[in-house]
Amino acid sequence: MLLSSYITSVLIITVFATISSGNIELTVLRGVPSSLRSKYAQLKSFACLDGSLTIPFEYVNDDYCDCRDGSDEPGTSACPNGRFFCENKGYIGTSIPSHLVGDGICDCCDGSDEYETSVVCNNTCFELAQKSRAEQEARRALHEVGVAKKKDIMAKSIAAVSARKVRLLELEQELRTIENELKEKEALKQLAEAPENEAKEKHQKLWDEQRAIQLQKHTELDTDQENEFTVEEVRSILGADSVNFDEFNVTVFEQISNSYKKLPQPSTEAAAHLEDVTEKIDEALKQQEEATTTTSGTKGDYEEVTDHHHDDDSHHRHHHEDVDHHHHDEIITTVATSLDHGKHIHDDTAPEYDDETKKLMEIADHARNEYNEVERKVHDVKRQIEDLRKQADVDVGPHGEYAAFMDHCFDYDEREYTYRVCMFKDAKQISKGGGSDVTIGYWDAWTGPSDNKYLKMKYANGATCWNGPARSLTITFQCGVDHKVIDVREPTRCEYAMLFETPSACDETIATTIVHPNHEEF
Amino acid sequence: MKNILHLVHYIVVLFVLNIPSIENVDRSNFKTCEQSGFCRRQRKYKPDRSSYEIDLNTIKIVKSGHLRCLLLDNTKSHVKFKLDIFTLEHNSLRVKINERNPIRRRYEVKHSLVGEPKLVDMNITNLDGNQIQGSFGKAARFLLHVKPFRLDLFTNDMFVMNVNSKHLFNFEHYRKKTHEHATVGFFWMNAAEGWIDVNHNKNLFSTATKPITDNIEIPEVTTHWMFESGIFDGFFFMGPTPRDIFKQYTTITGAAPLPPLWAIAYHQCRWNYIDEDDVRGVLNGFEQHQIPLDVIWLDIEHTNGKRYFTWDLKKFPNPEKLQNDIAFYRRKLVTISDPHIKKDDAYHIYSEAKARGYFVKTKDGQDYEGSCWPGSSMWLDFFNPDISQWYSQRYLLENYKGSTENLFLWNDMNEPSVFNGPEITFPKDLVHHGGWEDREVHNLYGMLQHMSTFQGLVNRSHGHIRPFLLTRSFFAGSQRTAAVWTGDNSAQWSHLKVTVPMLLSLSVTGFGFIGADVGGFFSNPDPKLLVRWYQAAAYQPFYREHAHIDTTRREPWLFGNDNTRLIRQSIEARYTYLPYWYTLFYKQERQGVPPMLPLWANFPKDKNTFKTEDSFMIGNGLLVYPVADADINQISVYFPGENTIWYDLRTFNPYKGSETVLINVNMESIPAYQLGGVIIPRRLRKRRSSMIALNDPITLIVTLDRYLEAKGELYMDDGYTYDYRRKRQLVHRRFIFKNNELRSKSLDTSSKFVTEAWIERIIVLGYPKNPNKVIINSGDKHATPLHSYQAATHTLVIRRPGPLVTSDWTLTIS
Repeated sequence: MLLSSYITSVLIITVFATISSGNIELTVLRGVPSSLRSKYAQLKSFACLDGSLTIPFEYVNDDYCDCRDGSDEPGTSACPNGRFFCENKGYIGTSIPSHLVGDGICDCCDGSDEYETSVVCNNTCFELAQKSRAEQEARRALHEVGVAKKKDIMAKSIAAVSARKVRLLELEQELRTIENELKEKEALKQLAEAPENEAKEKHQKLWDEQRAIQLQKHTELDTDQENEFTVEEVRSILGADSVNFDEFNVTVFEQISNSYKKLPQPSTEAAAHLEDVTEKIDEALKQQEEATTTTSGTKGDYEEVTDHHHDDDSHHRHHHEDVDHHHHDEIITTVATSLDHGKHIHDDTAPEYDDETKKLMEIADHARNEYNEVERKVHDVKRQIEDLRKQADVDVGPHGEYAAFMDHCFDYDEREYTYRVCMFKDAKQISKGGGSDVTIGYWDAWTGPSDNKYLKMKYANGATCWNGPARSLTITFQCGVDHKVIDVREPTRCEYAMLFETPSACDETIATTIVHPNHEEF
Repeated sequence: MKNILHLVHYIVVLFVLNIPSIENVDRSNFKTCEQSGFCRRQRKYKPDRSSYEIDLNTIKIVKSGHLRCLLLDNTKSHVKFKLDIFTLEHNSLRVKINERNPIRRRYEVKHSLVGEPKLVDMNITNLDGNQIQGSFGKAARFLLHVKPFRLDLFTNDMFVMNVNSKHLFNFEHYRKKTHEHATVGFFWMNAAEGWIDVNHNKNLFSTATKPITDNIEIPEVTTHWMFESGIFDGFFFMGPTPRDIFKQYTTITGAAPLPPLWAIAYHQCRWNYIDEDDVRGVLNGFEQHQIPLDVIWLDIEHTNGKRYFTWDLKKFPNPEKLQNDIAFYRRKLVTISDPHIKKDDAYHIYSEAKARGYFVKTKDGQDYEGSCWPGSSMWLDFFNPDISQWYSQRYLLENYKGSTENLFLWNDMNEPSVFNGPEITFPKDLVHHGGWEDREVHNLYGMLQHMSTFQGLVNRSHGHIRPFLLTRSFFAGSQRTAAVWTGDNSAQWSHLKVTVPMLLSLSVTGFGFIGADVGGFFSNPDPKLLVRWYQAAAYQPFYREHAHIDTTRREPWLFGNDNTRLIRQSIEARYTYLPYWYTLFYKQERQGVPPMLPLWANFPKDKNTFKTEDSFMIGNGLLVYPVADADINQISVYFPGENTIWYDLRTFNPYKGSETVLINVNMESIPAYQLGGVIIPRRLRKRRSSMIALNDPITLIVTLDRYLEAKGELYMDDGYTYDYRRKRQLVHRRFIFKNNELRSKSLDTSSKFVTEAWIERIIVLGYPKNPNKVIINSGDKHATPLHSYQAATHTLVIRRPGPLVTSDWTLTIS
């Protein structure tokens, strides 16, 4: 500013002159707060409060700005940067910018800022004080109720934290146990799978051999005698390039069906082998049974835990895995029994396994199922541990003030959308018109100011706006009796702002500051 | 250098819709000359010799100042034309050429001129049978060549420009490089699609048509005007000074009127302030951060589904209360009202206009339907005076529900913008009132809308309160009723830079109340750019922050304390200069001189100023070099004028004229210099809004020239009514510093205005020595105010001289 630049250097040499004024007390100290009265002692000179200049005392409040910091004109609008003190008797004394003095607008409740204008300011300090007291009392009462709830939340949070710790220990113990069990089951599985594989391979080998023999036997089909069934040969059998299914059934199949022979019977060697395997597994099982008695009761706990587990996501995942297993089984069965895919003229399907192989497979299947079951348990427990650890990592306030939010979602209905925030997880904008949901952010961090970090939280990296940034949501908390979304708006495109009432944001200091009904000074 | 010299010296007064900002416009939306049939043909048409001749026998003086004759095309069609030459007051000349018996009637532009231009007598002499000379006014003369037709214009016996007869719409302009320096202007009045080729080539027409026989190389500008329809109607303004041109042009088309005081203060806008809470929140922000503010704006989202004259009552349930609250600090609200009317039978404006047949028609006589913000829309046919009147009545308080006298207007999208139209506007074959096709009248549409809005606002207060309204589309004459902004710019340094030449182009063509969106409309400015933009625009006529709906919030306090402080300082600086700005706007109304000027307008003899695009002047006293680069700590400042002195207003350092100086800058810097010889009135006190400061005291900044002299003016009134015109309630003072005396006298003795405003401080820069005594006399009263002197900067400060602004006084320094 121009003003300040010349003041610094210019007003050293000044010609003194007397300024006539009426009531010095009243005018000279106007706008000076009592705390600064001593600096405005009516001596010969006045030192600007920033020390930049010393001026004759008559220059104070003479409606001309001399000090760079505006301190010589606390009671006029002469300085652009001065401060005027409103005494506001009956209410709180406040300091306002001195450029509000004499602007025709009553800024002080005692109207003292408009002493020089024709504007009539009603003294509103008394009503203001009453209103302010009422508001403060209402606020205090609100915080009191809120703080009680907040304490409850905090207490529950402490309990939840220790329960979580206990639970974690249990789960870790269980994990160790079932991981051991898994190892055993794996051994058993391998034990059962080895003879099964052997039998299967044998079966396959036998089948391969027989196929070759079969074709040799049916030389009437292999007209060129090369042990290969060629397209030309097929043509000669069918009498055409192609026939439909009915024709094949009636004429062609009839013609060639007699050429096929039955498969050979399983050997006695295989039967002896089966007995051996059954024995070995029984023995191993016996040993394992002895081992499991030491960790009895684990299963019951496990069930209890899964009951508690209502997390949508994990539920979903469980479901998926079940489905996958099911499919897996089905596919195996389909391959093993498939006889009806008439895509080739060769029937490539192996004949049924002999009974002994079947028995071996049954045993192996059993071992596999048991292994899978334990493996699933291991996964489950691991996931639970992971979830619990994640929960423990979530910052729910230094004393768990915001712990009640865990796993909760809150909705806010607006004209076009419902806004849903799932605390510490994500926030969505759900269209009421039936459009698809839009994620406006994933849990990011507490983003309040350094002295009040838990005032705000942010959900970031939501769906990207067309031609714009990723959406985000900032929640600002204020004290309230219930957890409730008060307002959602979009002050800037794609940056949403939510106002949220919760007892968790209530302040004990406010709750316990008694508002004196007749106290005049705050 | 020579090329540039005449380019700048010669002002082409031309009007193009919404001068596009450099990089934002998708050019593919618009035709090129090659894609326009008539333009392509015209460009190619270059006969060796003109086929047009004057029929000498037909020459007659219709009345004093009006000569008429027939113009024949002797080659092909033998079409006959009427040629009318009008000699006008203020060294101006008008030439009209129209077909004598047109097959198809040709449109003559209405609404652009203030009225019929005043004629002055012409003295005709037939020189040699091939030339007719007419002299008029003080020193103006035209020479009409008969065969081929050509018209040469002279002022003070110096040739300034001509109309040549290469073919009918081909002009050539020459200017002799002289020491006298003349500025000329040409105004081509035509509302149709047009193309103008501008060439500045020394050799282009160096032979046959050269009107002056000496061998001095003549710098010249030739322009080739190609318009689709209408008539030839050209005005020639023969200067000789830039200020003469402003006067000549605004005599014809009207001067921009004095805006309300608050309208030249700071405006806060955004697409969109969401609801009442948002508006109040922003207003509170200005209070909290102690930033002055006068106007807050609401863009299209405040309406009920882009139905203008309505409110989205969920967001703005109580607009009257909102406006009253805004007015509590004497601030104003501006709302938007575009010309497209949503097609919706339940919308009262639409249903009434539909029933009355008020919409623009297709060639088949159906109501034309196009797409704009509200979706399917129709457009009012403002060419019909009944429709214009009906439209203006929509702005009356009883018709515009929720509006109060504190609400003012913004007409956007009025080219008009039609999302699904050819070149994003009306099809050319739409039919307006009177049966005129859009191709004839297109460029008038926007002006007719805002003229109608203006009339509505005048009528709203029964002619008592000055309207304010902003328009995007404009034509010659728009300046009489609306402020103009440069449209949708972008948050780029190059766009900040280009504001200067863009605003200067508008200024010299009569649009004085102009601005560009601070910060850039599209995308997000980095804080540095935003600050620099606030600083630059603080010294430009219309000062408004505006941002696109997709940008992040950018209210002044959102970029940290330092930037908030810098922005606050810029806005505060603007407010300190409001008394000066207001005086300049008053002078514009009276004399047609725009407040923001190119350097050459004040220094027409200084060739170095002719190409200047990075700086500008406010009035004749303030030179501004906005910093428009991201990372620079030095700028090169040219101080124009021989023997001038310029004072840096931060350091009080003086600089000599005709010199270029490297000046160090930091983020605080808004390089601005006051010319020695000028007195500028300022208000160094701070207030919330301009209207609150109306009676605050004034500081006079006197910067002395080398003769230790200076002069200046101050204009004041109530800031918002027409009482300054109707009741002559105004103060217009002249300050003259000469012979160690500073005098204040009235420039308008018949005026009367009561104000408590007084002179609280006089700062004299360039005063050679510490005086013994300062005495002030006013009538029979006299006083001895205190003073102080700083020898290092030759600065004299007179403390509380104390006279009322309205009084005569003399201050004597001894």
